[in-house]
Amino acid sequence: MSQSMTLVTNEPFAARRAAPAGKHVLLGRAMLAFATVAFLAVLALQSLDAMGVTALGFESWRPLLYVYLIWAAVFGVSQVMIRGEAGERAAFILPAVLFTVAMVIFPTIFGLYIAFTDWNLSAVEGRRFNGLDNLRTLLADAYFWNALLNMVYYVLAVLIQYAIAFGLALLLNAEIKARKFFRVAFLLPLMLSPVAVSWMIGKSLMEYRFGPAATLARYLGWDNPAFFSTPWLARLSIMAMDAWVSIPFMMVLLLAGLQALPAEIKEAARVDGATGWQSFKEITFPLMLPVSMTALILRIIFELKLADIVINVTAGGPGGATDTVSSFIFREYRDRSNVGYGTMLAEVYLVIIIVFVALILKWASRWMQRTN
Amino acid sequence: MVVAGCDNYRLLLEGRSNVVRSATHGEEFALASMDIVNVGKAYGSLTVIHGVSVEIPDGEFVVLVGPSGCGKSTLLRMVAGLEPITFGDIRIDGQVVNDLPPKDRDIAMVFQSYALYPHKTVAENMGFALKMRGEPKADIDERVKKAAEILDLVPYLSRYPRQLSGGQRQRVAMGRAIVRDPKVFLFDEPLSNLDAKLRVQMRAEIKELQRRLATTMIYVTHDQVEAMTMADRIVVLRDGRVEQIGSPLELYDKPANTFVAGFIGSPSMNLLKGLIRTSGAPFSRPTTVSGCRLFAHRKAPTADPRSTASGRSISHLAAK
Repeated sequence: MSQSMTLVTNEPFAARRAAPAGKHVLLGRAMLAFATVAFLAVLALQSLDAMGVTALGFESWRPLLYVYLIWAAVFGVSQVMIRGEAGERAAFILPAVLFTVAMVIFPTIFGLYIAFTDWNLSAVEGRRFNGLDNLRTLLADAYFWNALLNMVYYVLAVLIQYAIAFGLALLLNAEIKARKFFRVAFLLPLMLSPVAVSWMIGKSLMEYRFGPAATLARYLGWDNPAFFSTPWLARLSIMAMDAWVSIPFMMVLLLAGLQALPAEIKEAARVDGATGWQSFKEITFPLMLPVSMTALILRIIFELKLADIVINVTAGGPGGATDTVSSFIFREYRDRSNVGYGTMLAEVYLVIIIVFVALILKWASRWMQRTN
Repeated sequence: MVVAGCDNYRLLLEGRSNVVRSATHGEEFALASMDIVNVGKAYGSLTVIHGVSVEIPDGEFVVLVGPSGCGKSTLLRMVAGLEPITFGDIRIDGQVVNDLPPKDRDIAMVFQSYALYPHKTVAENMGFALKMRGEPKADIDERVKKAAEILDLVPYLSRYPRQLSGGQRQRVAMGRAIVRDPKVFLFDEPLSNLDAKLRVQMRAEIKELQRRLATTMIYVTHDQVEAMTMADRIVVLRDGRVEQIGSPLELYDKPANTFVAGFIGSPSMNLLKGLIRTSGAPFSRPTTVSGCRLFAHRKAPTADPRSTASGRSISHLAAK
């Protein structure tokens, strides 16, 4: 019996793939045009009013928000009307796009504008465009470069935190007594607010005169246990407190990774004669690389924003030795009310973080690939 | 898929000169026998293996078979040293290995999931045990290459496990075991992840491999067809107890109890309830419940004249 082949096509499906145009193209275009004109009109009116060119306008900017919401809704509906199924598909992501534009992209761009203004909250006159002055100040600002150098030390400290976190994760993954208790106990520092930690530990435990840690250090023979007196000692103390708070975060990620490793692979290594250390070096560690990289990159991003402990314990001292970029920006805003320059610092730092993290991700991508 | 040829196997055997000589000249030599003596396993108060004893002479292919949860995999893991032994002794070559870690037992194991190292190439996977032993790199490469030739894995040596099909991964897992030249091979349901056709093919290959290497192998499966086709001897386990030990045909022809009778054979044996009458005749005649009299193949136990079950597979009934 001979068999003939027929090419089977799903014509309705193919037709839908071609995405026919909408049924109400004209009406859709008209609606979109009307909504856009209304939005731009309100925007222009309010801008002119705010600049004092015309006396005509609303009391606040709030109507513009309402017009934006209406315009967004009309934009979505008109997409369906004009482009048919392609518009329907677009409607799935439009809310997210419009929300991101309103809540992320617009504030960033607005912040960029503020970064190029001279705006001191305690000054009598308001915001004033001052060109590249803020950027010039920043490039010549020794405090900023000092803080940036400190960030290098703090980021390097993350590697030590990682090593400790990996060790703890291995311990908690092993068959030890009271494993559940230790898992919760080791998470406690992460649950504490860093502000509470800085007062609990930095300001009271490590207090020079009566703090228990200082008393213990004296008892052990350290004459002058001032934990925040010399630059490196202060830096190390801050790093230790930061590590105490954030090691549990990495530990939890690594522990989850360890538990996801297939038990049979480790058993195979045991049968193959690997000792504990060889098994770690040859099997566990390489298999954990993707998780390790994720944990490290997340922690580095968090570390780059370290501020709370520094602000509370040392306020950047002594002599800027513990200062972070974030705590420096905080002082610029909080102590000097210098919004324009502070925002320039924040925007430049954002660019530095984005570039740095992008480079790390690119470098790390070869370790991040899934191996099974 | 290619079935490895005899020449390939010979290549490996050249590396094992003692085996070759014995295979060709019948010389005496010592390979590994394995004795499992009254071995048991308990988790707290729950005993899962109640004293299993199996004597495995050198070079035998023993299959542990039983329904899931019968303790066969646990028993194999105890032999491998991955699971502590609660009581009893395991001896390899007469030496008690109860407290030895897996690496000192000179065993190799093929896991159900293959347990290949996903970040290592096929060659690195196969040579891992040798590397751990600290053997020179040239030796490792040579032995890996030989094993790869046996298993037709040469083109894949530089690939990663994720780039291989299920059957190829299975071969790599076997290659990893062969390369080490162990005293005993352990297989933990190695074929259950393969499709039906490949499973039949690999069954024959493993059996052939065992014949060529003449090494003791312990093979765990829940598939009685695998057990019947591959084993020199089968150990039927149920609930942590040995139900019967014997060659495939012994189990098939003379099952020790109704469990073994029902478990072995495909299609499974039909069991008829009946009574044994002792009428003084040399052979008693079992009578089924419905009154049908059967001819007993051998003398039925007459001491216990209660209702009994008589089994014969339907093929035999039809023939007789």
